[in-house]
Amino acid sequence: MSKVYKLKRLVIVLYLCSAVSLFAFEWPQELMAPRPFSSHFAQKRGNTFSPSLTFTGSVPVIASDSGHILVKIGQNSNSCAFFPSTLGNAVILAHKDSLLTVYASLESLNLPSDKEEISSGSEIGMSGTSGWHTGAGCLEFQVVDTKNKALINPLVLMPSVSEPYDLQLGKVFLTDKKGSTTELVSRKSIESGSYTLYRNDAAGVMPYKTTVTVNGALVQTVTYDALYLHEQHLYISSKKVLPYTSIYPDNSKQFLAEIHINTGRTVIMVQVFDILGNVKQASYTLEVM
Amino acid sequence: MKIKENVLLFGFAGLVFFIAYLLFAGLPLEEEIQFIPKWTIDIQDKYVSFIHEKEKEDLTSSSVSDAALPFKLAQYLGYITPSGDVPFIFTFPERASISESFWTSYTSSASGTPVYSASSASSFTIEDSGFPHIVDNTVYLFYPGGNSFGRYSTEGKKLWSADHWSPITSFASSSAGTACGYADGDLRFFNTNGELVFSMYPGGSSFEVILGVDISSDGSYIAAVCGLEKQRFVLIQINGKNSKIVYHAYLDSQKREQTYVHFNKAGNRVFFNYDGGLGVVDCGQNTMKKIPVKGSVCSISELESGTLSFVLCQDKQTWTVLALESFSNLMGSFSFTADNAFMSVSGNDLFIGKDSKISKMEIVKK
Repeated sequence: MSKVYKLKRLVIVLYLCSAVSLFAFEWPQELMAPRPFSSHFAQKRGNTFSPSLTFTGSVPVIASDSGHILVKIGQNSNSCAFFPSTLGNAVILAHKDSLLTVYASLESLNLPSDKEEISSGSEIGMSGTSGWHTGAGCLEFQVVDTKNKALINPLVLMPSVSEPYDLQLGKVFLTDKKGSTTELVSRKSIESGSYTLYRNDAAGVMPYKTTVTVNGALVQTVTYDALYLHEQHLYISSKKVLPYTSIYPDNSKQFLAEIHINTGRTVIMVQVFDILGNVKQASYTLEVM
Repeated sequence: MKIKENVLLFGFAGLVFFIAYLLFAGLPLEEEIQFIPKWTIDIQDKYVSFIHEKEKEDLTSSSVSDAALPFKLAQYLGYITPSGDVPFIFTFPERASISESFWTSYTSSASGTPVYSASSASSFTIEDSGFPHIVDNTVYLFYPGGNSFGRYSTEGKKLWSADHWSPITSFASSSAGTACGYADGDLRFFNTNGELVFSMYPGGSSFEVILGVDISSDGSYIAAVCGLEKQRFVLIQINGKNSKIVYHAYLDSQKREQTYVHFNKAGNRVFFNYDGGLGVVDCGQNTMKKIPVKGSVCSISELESGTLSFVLCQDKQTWTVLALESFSNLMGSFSFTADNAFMSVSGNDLFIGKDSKISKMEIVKK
């Protein structure tokens, strides 16, 4: 089964690489300093993976690329006849290469009623608070790959930013098979066996990729580049399917790796990367009994 | 001689006309629909009275009888009886959902949302984050991000949930299951246990998207308005994984927004809103009739007798109620101006809400 997922992921990564070289989006709004994003793709949001990149600031929103106006959502939000979309006022554009872009939580829509197509950079509306949000609320932006049936991390297709966000590693925890959790610190003595590594997500800063090495050998990489669907639930593809409950088992933890450590001196290195490849890392030397 | 012949001719014609008049005058005239006003209430006044009456009580602990109709009008929700009493009324600051059985008021950051029973003055809490949506006895929660939803028990426990890679653009629920349409054109039907019965791309258009969907109450059919260039209506007969389109019709014009689709109670007719009109499809005969409509269809209700259906349409601030006989014959209409409106039918009575007023009209055919 895992081979199927690996193959699927490889196909999508190759597709994205080709898309990046041939096809890149504009930012859908001005990036507000010092913190342009209030939440990231695949971050814990409510009790689900966030499919969106959420911006900050109340500013005009523009089309990231030329496309076809597919559907406007939320115009009937006060009517009992329609379901309450958590996207609020939103518009979805269909682009070439089977990609959709979603512009949600808009205060108002400003689309020409007589036009079916919209050009890159055209104003769509004002960012606002019409969707589900905590805090200030602002533009929610999604990229959907309809061909490969996946949600794509918008940062993969966007122009690069010099300082996307202040990435931190946070605290790292080990959980044994019995569910007992301890903070990982150097010179700690632990028993040999299988453990799950988590980082503390309390700061709310989402990495693009995490890696864990044990004694120099890469044990697990988790890349937040796309969300796929398996048995009606979104998941992150890694060595195996990682659904929401595996990535975020509770409010304070984010999954890093499943490891097995044998007796002796063991060095565990944890790295978190942002989209530009900037890394924050820590090494922990353990005495394993 | 010639004059005499003409007199005879005119006399004979007059006699024929007179006999014909006597015969046809004896026939009963075609019945006409009459809207007989019964009462009008002001819900703002009712709210003030309700608050005064319940001064020292918890407002949410009120209970209403089974006969009371739910309403949501502007920032008020409540229940109204056929006699014009309002046993419960509540103002909500942001959003609300109400059915005959339950109601809730929630905010844009909804999490841990209480849902109140209409009849038993009890409540339960949905701990998860998202917007609640109540359909009859069924409680759903739409999760942040717009791509997933869950169904909850009447104790607030999550029964099942379903994610998708693209945003939900249409949704329907009946006792037979749950239908969900997505922005990429995927149409999914889940049974009451949340198992995926089928996933289908109706296709047939340059751009795939599901704009409106409904399920017949017995779970035999799903109807949807889908696609752009060209937009079309599809009727799907549900048969597990072998479900198939049994009728379709391309539409002359297209909407790019969520669209109302509605089966009648018997499940043998389906109404759908298209750009510029209302389509009515006979599911047995696979025929369609179109009725021109200005604006968007918001609600359709039918009398208990099933003889008449009423359609509420909105064109900016102008609201129009159409009366349809045999589901597709336009018998009459009336319009009014309002910022907010609602329409509901109970027995043979029509209830119309207009801003702060609710009126009851008895429907009589004479």
